[in-house]
Amino acid sequence: MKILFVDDEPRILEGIERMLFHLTDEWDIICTESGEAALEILDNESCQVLVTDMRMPGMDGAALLQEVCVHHPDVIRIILSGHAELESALRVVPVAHQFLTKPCAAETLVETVVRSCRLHKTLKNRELRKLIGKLKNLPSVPRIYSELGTALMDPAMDAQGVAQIISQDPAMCAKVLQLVNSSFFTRAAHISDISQAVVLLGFQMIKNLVLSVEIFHLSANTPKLPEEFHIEELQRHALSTALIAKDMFSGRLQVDDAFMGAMLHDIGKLILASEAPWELDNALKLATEETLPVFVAEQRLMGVSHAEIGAYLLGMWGLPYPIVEAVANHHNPMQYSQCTTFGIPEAVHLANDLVNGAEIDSGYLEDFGVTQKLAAWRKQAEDLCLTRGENLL
Amino acid sequence: MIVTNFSTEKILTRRLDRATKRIEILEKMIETTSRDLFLANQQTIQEKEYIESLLESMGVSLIVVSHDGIIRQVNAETIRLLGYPAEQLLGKQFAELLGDNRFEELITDVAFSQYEWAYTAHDGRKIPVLLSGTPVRNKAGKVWATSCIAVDITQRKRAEGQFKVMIETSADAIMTLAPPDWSFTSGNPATVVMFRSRDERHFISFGPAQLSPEYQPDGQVSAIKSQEMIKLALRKGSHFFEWTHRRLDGQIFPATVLLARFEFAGEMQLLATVHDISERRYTEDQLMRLSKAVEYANESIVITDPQGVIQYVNPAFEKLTGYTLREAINQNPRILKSGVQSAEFYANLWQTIKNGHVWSGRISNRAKNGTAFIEDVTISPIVDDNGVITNFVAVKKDITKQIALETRALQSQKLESIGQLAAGIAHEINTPIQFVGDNTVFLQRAFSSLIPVLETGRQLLDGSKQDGKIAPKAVLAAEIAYKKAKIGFLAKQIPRAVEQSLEGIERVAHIVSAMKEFSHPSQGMMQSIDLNHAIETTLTVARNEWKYVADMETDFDQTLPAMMCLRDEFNQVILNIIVNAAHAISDNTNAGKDGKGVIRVVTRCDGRWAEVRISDSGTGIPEEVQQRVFDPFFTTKKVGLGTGQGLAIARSVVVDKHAGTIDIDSAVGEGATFIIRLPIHGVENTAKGSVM
Repeated sequence: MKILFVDDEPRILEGIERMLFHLTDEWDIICTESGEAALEILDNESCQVLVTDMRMPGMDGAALLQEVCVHHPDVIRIILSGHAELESALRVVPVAHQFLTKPCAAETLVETVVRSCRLHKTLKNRELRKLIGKLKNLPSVPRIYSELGTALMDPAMDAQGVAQIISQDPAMCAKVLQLVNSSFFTRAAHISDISQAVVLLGFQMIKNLVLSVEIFHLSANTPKLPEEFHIEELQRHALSTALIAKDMFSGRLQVDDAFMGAMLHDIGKLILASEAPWELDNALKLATEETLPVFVAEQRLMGVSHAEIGAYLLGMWGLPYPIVEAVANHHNPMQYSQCTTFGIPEAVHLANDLVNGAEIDSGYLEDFGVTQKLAAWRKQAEDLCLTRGENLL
Repeated sequence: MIVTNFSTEKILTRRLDRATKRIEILEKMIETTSRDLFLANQQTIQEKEYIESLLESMGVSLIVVSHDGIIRQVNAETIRLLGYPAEQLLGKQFAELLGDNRFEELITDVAFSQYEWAYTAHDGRKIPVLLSGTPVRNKAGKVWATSCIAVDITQRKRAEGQFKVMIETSADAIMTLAPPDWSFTSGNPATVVMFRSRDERHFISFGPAQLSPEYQPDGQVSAIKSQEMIKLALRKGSHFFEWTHRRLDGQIFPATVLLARFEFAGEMQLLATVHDISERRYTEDQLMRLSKAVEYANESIVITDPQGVIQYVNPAFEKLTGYTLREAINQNPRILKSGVQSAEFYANLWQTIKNGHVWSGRISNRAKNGTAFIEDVTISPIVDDNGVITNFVAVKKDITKQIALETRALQSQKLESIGQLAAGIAHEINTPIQFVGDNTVFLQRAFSSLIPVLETGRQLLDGSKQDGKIAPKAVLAAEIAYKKAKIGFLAKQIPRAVEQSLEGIERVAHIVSAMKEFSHPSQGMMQSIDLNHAIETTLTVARNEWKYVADMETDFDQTLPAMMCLRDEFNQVILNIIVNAAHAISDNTNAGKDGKGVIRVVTRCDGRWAEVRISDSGTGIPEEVQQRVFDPFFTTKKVGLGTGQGLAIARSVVVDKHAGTIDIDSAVGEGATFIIRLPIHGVENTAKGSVM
């Protein structure tokens, strides 16, 4: 595998080279000090991963990534920047798959590359491509979500402005308010105003809610849903998983990603339900007959499961890799041998199991050092199950 | 004709009769006169002399006029008064003296008195006289002449005329009031004007009540109060009081009134003199306002005599200093002396004001309770018409809080720029930390991959020591370990990894210490600093701000001596200018995408001045912007990118706190140079510098 590192500080490049020297058998490392040179290298060599600094004289990281996004879309794009404050701004523009800040631990860098490659491989899966090719109208980026994304690029954007965008669609407004006032979000005061909801939940969370509402809305309107498919049930499950997953983190960006990843982890099911209802129906029947997990039945029938399909769509929409990865791998997370950090995919996987009441692999938890928190998470999941009766759609 | 003849005859007859009668009378007269004279001759001679001398000695003029209008006798006073020789007067027609024939009215059988008349003197002058006449009888008791006594009233007339003019031309309204109802009986022209009446008659037609508002300012009814005033005046003889009048056009005005009692034609009357004091009241109000202004002024105001002895302080002064007016009076302002200013400072101050000039400056003072405060003071001498200084007035503004605010503004701008720098500094630090970390991970791995080499090497060594024989197994193990360890790579890379790590650590240490040095507050204390070093530190801290857009060239004059500066504030100035330079270059180079520009920092020692020139190859500053760049809150940057405080603070620090200068040399498209000049021997002994 070829990885290209770009940084205007040669000592950084030398340091990375030395740090990765033990991987030289697997990784072919190329270094260069400018964006212009990097583009030239990409034109001539087939690199799988690009890791670049942000602020550089001449062409900066953002410009380089934009170029790569257009001309080498298959290259995994990772930012390694000393300017941590740029991350939130850059996440809005989906030019980078992953974002790392300096100083970055050696293993984090390696792990991020490994995870990204694995996901990349999943998404490039021949069976998946074949199935996707068959689906006629894959939904495009939901409109309000994408409008919010553009609006939030403006640092001067305020809650009023965000509320205004959401208010364009009264149905959306009502859904968002219904969600925030549901017992999933335990709040003392009733929120009756969308801008109030924006202030209370924050821009990112509102944006996530909007996306999930829009996605569920797309599928809910499909007339040919399979018999055994309950969209309302699916949404309740997604929300419960999201609320547990987000509480597994404390950093703002991680909380948002965990919520989003969990909220959308079954999005592939929605696509199947609306675009390939017959295949989904068969898989559901097979699962019931042989008491298999649905995703196993799907894999047996189609070669891929809803997880990969969902991840593919989100990847296309430009969602951050941690979310896409969480969706893709929510049935088969990374093993500790491959990664040491308890990331978003691990959290979504665990939250999904907790909400489903599935057996939890305690050894797995131990590896990641989160065993002592299990009890609290389990309790939360049980509490959420009690809200089943509530209508969300 | 017959008729005529007849009548002529008749007339003639009558005339004859009359003449005959006259002759008879004359005969009798002559008879009696001659008899009288004859009889009296001896007896009356003494009496006649007595009367004559009496007449001569009279201080008044006496003229005896017979009833035919002929002057028969005059006395000496008459001659003196009229300037005629006695012989010309006697036998003269009295009418000539009087100037007309009206004497017939006077010369009758009846006495008259006190007629105002005028005699015509010999030289033609009219002499006003008060004339009294007594009929003169002859022995038969028949009136044949009148003796006229005339008193010269020229003086009185003149005085009267003057009084009249005085009253006519008086600016005060003068009027008379008469009982029983004390209505006006006369008024001078000023009265007419003052009350806006048409003329005197028009004026008199109004009563006093109509010329006053219903109520006086004290709330009393004017009609009642005016009666009281009149009573008082009648009782005391005169009464002076303030009164509010109303003109006929309705305008109300304040006045003073003098009511004086006088007797006329046997009854008490009143003379009123009304003085319109609206002008005076206006001036008084004006003065009152001025004194209130002084009293309520936020600034302390101190008035001293030419010797500097306090004569007045206002309440603001009392409040600020804790000294009351009573305590401050007769003191010298040195009671506030804090000891911060030197003796020369005060000497200079006194010299300035004693020479009649205004002194202004900043003084650090101390209140009664010891609290220090800083004032902006302006002291002005007050001179009289002869140019002699009579007083000094000091107006002093307490700027202690303002200085605190300015300090805070500076501090917040500093924090803001540090905040801005922090991200850049983090990057500057994160970069070396990244490669130091990577190198250390490498060294760790390198070391662990070298351990088997050492281990197998030791076994080889042990084997060769024991029996001199080396087991082939051990050799193989050593060989494998050696190969695996990639010794060649390690041998080349380890020294470099160590070297670069040390360099990285050095870089971090350098940035951290520069940061500390840059931001450590000087507490407003002047310190001896090396200007070159201070600039270098600032350039290090700000490196991330300029390094992407510009190359830095420095040319420091090593002969520049250490000088007294407010270190942190000086650093701030350099930082603000460097950041601006970087922004200007960024604008000029498409944020560095079109290649880097140059920032050049030069220091020079120029006699008594240290000069710092900071040039950039940026966009340059248009002429009209140059004039405003040092204004607070002026900015040409986009909203959110600049507060407009940077250069204003730079100016304040350089000019106000270091007594230096800051200038721009720039033209659009040719970059800009900021030139800062600071006095090498520190701030001169100025008022401003001494309190900072």
